[in-house]
Amino acid sequence: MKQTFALPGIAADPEQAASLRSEFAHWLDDDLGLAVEFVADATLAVYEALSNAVEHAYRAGAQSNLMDLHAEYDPATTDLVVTVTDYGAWRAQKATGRRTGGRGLDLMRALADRVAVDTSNAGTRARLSWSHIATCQRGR
Amino acid sequence: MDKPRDDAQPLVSANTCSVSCHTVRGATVVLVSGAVDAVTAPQLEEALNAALTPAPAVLIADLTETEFLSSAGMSVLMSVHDRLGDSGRFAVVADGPGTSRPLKLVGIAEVIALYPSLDEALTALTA
Repeated sequence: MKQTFALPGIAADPEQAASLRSEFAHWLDDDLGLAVEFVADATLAVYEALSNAVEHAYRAGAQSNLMDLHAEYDPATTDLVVTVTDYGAWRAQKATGRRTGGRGLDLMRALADRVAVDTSNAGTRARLSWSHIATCQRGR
Repeated sequence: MDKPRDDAQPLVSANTCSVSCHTVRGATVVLVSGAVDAVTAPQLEEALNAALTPAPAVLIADLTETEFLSSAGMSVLMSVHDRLGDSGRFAVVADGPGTSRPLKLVGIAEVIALYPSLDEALTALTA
């Protein structure tokens, strides 16, 4: 049966992003029992997505200062899909001007198997996914 | 959409970070423990900036006790590397899934010298 971790409607501020990161890491580690190295990778990738949501929320024109974190793990296939959604208005020029924003996206791409970022006037949704996570555990 | 839950159910705090500065075998060592993220990166930045004046011959950021390092912390490390330039040598000590691994993955370990232990960094950088 698929395992779901969902925390919708969280205030998009830096402290909440840090707390969400901690809860997500506990879920991967304690509830799913995934490998230590994978937990570190996924936690950092998701934190970078949350940090981007916080940055979007602080921009002028944000429709809402909330963000949603949703994750689903399928033990049968050992696939993990995580989405981070925010409702901030997208401003490409400002986004590319951020030095940390660029590094955050680089990190997400390096850490996750697949990264898709969809932006619209209504907000941004980052989807991070991993497949065959069990293979990560062989190295333990 | 669900209501914000920050008041109803306080999330556990994840932001413990402490930074201290020491001199070891002539090298300035900034020891960082806990999590370096967007909230705590300014603490690291402040300590490293203080250690840059006057510019030390050897400056080491020791992340042995750091569990988490985000892009905000990495940007601080890169900025210190750029500021020190040729006036001294800067190195990072890290050996963990949350620190040395992402530093290698994004290529920072190719720009800033990375050592698995403080001993190895001191041996390499101090005569």
